[in-house]
Amino acid sequence: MEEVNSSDSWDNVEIGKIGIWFFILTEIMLFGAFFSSYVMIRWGSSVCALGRTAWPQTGFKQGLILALLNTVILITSSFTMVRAYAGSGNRDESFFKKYLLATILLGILFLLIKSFEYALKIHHGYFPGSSFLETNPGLTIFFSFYFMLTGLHALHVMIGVCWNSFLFRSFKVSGFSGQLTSKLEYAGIYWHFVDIIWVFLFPLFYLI
Amino acid sequence: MFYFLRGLIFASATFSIIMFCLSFKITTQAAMALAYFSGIVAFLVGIGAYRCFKQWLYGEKDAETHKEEIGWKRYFQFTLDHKVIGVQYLVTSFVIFIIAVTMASIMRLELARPEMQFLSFEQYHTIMGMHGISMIVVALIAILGGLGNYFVPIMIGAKDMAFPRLNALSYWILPPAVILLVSSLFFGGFDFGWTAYPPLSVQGPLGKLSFLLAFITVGFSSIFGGVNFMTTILRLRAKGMDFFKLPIFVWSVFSAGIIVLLATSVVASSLILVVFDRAMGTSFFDPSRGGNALLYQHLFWFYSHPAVYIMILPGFGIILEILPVFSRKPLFAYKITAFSFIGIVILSFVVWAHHIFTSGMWDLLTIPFMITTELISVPTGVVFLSALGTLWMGQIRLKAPMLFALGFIFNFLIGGLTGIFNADVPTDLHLHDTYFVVAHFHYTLFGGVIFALFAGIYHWFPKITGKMFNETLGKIHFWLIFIGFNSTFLPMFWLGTRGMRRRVADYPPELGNVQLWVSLAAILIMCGVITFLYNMVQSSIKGTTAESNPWQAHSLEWQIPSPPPKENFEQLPEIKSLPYEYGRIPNRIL
Repeated sequence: MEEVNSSDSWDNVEIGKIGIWFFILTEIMLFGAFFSSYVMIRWGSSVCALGRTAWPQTGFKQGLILALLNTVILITSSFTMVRAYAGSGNRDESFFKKYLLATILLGILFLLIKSFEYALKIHHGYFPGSSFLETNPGLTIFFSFYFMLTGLHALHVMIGVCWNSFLFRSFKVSGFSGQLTSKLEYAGIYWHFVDIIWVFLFPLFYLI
Repeated sequence: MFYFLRGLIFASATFSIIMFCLSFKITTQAAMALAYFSGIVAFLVGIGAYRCFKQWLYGEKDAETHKEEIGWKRYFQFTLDHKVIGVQYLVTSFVIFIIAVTMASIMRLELARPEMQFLSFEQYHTIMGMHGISMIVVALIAILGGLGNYFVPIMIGAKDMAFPRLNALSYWILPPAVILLVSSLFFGGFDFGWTAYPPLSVQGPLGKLSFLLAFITVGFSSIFGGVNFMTTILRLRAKGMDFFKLPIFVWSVFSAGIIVLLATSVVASSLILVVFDRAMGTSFFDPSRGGNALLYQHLFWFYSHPAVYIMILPGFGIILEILPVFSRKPLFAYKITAFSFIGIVILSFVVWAHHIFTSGMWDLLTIPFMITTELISVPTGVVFLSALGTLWMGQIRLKAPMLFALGFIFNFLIGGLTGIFNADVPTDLHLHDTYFVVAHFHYTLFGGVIFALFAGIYHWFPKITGKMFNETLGKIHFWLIFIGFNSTFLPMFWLGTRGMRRRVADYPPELGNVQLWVSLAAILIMCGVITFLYNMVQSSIKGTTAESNPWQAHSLEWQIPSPPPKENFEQLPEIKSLPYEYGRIPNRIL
């Protein structure tokens, strides 16, 4: 194995890691397209609500609090993910199991809070096509982007939760064998990416 | 065959059940989208993909549990061998190609005389859109997915692609997409061509939704393929194969892979927005509810212009791979050509708005986009220089692959030069959406990509099948297609300047004679395609056995038996030089 193409720095990187980074690249372009569309429409058109003053006040504060809670949850889950990775690196079974399980549960908690927030918004009539928004094109397009982007993000969280659960089961079936550490690292890269997307989503939809 | 049928049954059952249950609860549009994606998952489970991924996930050994059938049955199964997947891609793309050719013939029958003959306007538009999207898919997957999958690992001295499961997955999500696309004819069709501009694409029958979903699936497949190619080329090269010893075809696939990774998800975003507008009642493209219809065109062309380079770059690669072999000379200006591929990749991302000069874009932006578009002819010119420099004073052998390569150079020159008129703002205002544009992109995509595909298939046919094709039929095929193609599409430039609009089924009677000529000339193309298909089927069954290196070529794929054994190489090779060391270099040329 020594000196296989040592001039070539690519050879020191695992294949799966290169693949997952390329995949993240396409995801960045996907979310980038949506983000830039949102920014273009929000600041480029005359009808779309500019600034928080134009927004409805009913139910908005609750939404903000829930989103803030979700931000904390996701960032914590990124931390537990790193701990789980460290645990698998040290072959520390109970440590690993604890933190991977925490990551999965935090992801599920995020989804629950998110669906509660959706229900709240729909209850107040803040969704495109509702009779309440029919007279307000600015809010219609705002909530179009809101539901599409947060929905897509929630789908990514769901995939991440499934991925982590598969890894958990994989650990139950065959322990640390079968390169679990590398697979956990790929899942971790993806999970951090999903986290970062939320860090962009939160100010764009709740603060600015 | 069993797995394939099981997949189909699983998929159709899931699709029908979900469609039936959900259409009471939510809108038909949303139900169809959910049912379709569940259908794909069911198809993958049926075909055996789930088991394969489970093994990877739980770290079980592949060889013990994943059963692969032998012989032709492997081609109907979730097989991981990159050569099988390459052939699957090729055969699928020819099935789609036949659909597209049929649609084109119906269009030419309708257009042969002015006024309406036997189609309604809606039917004509659906058939035109079907022809368009089918050929786009063929151009996207045939060279990159088919020949790329088969030959990139062999050319760089690897045993397989970097991610064999992902590779099989990227192929196997295509058949459901193709089935959905064809079935859209029964859901009311789609009358927006292949571009699906809103607001037209937001209204109307369910067939449009099938088009959008199928397109998104092809995008997914393309992204998986792109990730795989990039990783394979970066990581699995044989010992000594550094970047400037790669065959030029690998370089072209690498460049196309960059575009796939950066651009494809953007088109997915635009289509997802349309699906949301249709199924969820959002208002992204509805100006009366705060949206912006032009947004779609920007997102769409941000992918769809670079996409033509995804199609043509591997085409360049094939041509530049064939020219040295058949003129017995090293590839001219190898390094500069590789760099010019990268130049094309970079420039391709800053030209998209030349498609929407007339759509109401900000006028000030038209000039920068015109300039960048014309700049892209510089690296393309370098590719031409490399092709002509390779031919110069070579010992040219006019075999079928070489004929197609030369035909490519001729056609693509016309296609490239007429592109300048479309890129120039003043002329484009006149020529936009006319047959001039139709002729231009057929010269680049049919005269370019499809000619390159034919060249590549003739070149590598002995390697893939181990049989020799019928050279006479190959030459007949070339001359039929070459003459037929040029006499079909050259008059279209004239039609366009006379004001013949594209995408319409009826036209002024004074254009009738030229249109009739075009329809008659298209028969030659049909005959050519039939000759080709006959030749391929007949030769792969009854052809004479080919030697392992019938063209005396130097690249790696010709140094192993034909067809290649399961893991390609008995011993991984070690690379010492470029694969183009053919004899002496003529005096004072370089």
